[in-house]
Amino acid sequence: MALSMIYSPLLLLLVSCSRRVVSKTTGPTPAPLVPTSTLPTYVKSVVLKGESHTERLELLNPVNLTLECTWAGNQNKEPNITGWWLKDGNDVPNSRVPVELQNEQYNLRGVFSVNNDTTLGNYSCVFANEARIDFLLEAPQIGDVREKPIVSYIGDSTVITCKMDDTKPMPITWNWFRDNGTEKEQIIAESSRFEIKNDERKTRLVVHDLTEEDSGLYYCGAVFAISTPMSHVKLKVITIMEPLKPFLAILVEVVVLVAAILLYEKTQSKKKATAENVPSADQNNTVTQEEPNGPEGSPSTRQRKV
Amino acid sequence: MIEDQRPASGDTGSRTRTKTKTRTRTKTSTSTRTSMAKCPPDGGWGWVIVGCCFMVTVCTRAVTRCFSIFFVEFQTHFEADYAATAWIHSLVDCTTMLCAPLGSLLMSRWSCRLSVIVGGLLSSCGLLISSLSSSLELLYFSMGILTGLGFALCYTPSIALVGLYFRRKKALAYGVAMSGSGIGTFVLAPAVQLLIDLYSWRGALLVLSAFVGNLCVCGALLRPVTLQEDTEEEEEPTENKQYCDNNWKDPELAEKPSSQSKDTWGKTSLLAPPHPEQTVSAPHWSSEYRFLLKKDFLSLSLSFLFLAGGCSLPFVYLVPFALSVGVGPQSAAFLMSILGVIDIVGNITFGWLTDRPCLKPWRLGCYIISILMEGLCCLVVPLLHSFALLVPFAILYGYFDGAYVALIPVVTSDVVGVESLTAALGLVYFLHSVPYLLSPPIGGWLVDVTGSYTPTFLLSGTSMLLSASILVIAAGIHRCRHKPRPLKTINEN
Repeated sequence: MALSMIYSPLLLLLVSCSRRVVSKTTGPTPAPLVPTSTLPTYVKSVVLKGESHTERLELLNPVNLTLECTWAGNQNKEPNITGWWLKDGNDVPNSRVPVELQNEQYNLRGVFSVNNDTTLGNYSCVFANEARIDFLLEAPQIGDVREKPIVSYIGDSTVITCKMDDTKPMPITWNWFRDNGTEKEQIIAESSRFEIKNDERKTRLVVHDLTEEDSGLYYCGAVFAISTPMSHVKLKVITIMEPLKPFLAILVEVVVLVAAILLYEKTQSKKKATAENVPSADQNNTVTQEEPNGPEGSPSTRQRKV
Repeated sequence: MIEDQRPASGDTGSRTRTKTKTRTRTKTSTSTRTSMAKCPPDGGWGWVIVGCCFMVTVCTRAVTRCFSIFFVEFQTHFEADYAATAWIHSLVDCTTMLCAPLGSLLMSRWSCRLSVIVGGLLSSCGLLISSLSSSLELLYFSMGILTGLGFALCYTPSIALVGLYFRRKKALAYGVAMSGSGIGTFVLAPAVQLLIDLYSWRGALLVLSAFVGNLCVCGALLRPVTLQEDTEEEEEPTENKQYCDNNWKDPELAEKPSSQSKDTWGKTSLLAPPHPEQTVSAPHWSSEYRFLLKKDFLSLSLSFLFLAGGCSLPFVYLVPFALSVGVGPQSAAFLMSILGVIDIVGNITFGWLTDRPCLKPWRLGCYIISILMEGLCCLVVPLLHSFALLVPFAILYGYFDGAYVALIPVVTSDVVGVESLTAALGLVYFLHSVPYLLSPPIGGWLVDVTGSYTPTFLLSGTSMLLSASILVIAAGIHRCRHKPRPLKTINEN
């Protein structure tokens, strides 16, 4: 008796709260975020076949994005399930709504204001933990990133390039950044050693009078209204000594071998000349048709070729 | 091996040696001689020469092919486009072939050794200057012309010397020597890429210039040879024996009286006496270049012109054609690798094959057949629309490409004789230069105008078939004219 007296007010509170929650979500799903009226709108609808699907969206400018998910349901085809939205794996606040089965389908809709780097990302609509559609919102990425570092020499100048694919839209401009240990620092073109040449789809950073401190990561950013996607290139500055070592090693090998071979050939030819002078004197006596000039002439002619 | 050629003792060693085919020195003499040509050693130091020629081919042809790896780096650094950088490759190739007669001239005037060493120094300097270059124009000069000139001074003399050292195994020797370009490209391409990754293009060119300095080492080993007559009967087919005889018909050439041949001429020459033509100034031009008047050589040179016009096109346009019919980039690159590897196989096996006694008299015929097969393959290419069909083409074409490359110097020496081989080879490679330079752009123009690769491959195939048919017609005419005599005695002058 005493227990029910304590619990009943609690129960009443719970019921009223849940009723309040239910009443909030019985109507049409309200937008979790308040859209601003100045941004353009864009609607993307995806019908899910199967259990999951990923959709990539490339955005250049800030938009009011309406994402619609449609799911055909499973065998049970319950009349009411819960659907919610995730952003980058985290629940979007106030996005959990009941979804009714209409025309054998479940529809879930979300409106998001996408206007900067933080609002880009992975938006997912989830149907009762059974079906999920991922929308990857991103600015155009810079393709063909060079993995190998660019090597250059102290005192030399080097060119670092970034290129946006022909299939992707053109950026407004390009910016270059240098890793400063803690953060990225923008490289200003007006300084003497750096030259930036922008060419719509391509950008070139020319660095003159390289020093060892110039080694490190350089970032090129393609500026779009919505965000600035980046790509990085590693620069390595080395001294002339590095390639000079194998160069000198091979050079020494070549010089030693050539000297040894020529020396050997010369000593062999001298040996042969002395060896042949002796028997040629005998030949003069033994062979009658021998000409006097012949043997004596030969050593000189023989030695002419070295 | 060295002891074979240069005995320390005098007569006793030499007497036994005259029984075998060793080199002996020749002497200049005022009396006329009735010598019979002593034939080339066919081994011994000859294999060292083959090894040197292999290295020369690696350092010249393979390095030239690796230049295209640098082009991407040049394009970024000098802010140039592909066409501007591709000129470097054309310049090197063209200069190497155009200056080939210069190389053979240097070989006749002085020696093979000197020519190759000078060539090695020149090309090394050229690459060294290139590594320090700050503009594309300087690269054209240093990496294009200077290096090309150095390569020209090395390439022809070393190939000619192989021909002087071998008779029985000439085709095999040439096959091994010429396989250097294929094997060299295979090994050097990844090595050059690694050098560029480690040291950038400047450092890579620096190391490459030292590598090319190895040409001097090869040059130092190229011992000149003198040929002297051998009285022995051999089982050689008459055409080989005949140019052994041909060598020493010229009275200016050093000869030995036959009576003394067995007694005093056993000593093989270490350092050969100067080339006979060197001692006489005016008449030697005519004796050295007499082959120019031979009808056989004229028909051969005409066929070389057409051959060079057609043979480079498939290498350039196979990959774009494969891509256009839907073959993937990896598979297309694989086709080129197959082509390269089978090229090496063709070099060596065809060289060995045409050295067999049964095939030796028909060497020219084998050469004609390999060109015919290549031409037919090219004609069939437009019908091949898948990777599976293009693979047999790559295998066949690669094999016969290796085959004819190994046989060019052999066929040339068969036609002109050993004494004029140097000058003739210079001229043969000179004839290759202009078609090599012109045919890829013409092929490209055809592709642009017609929008398909069919005319290009048809041009290539027809060119090669024409080259083969010129030789067939010339051989046919020859046979008709000299019906009573055997076909192989070709003594027109």
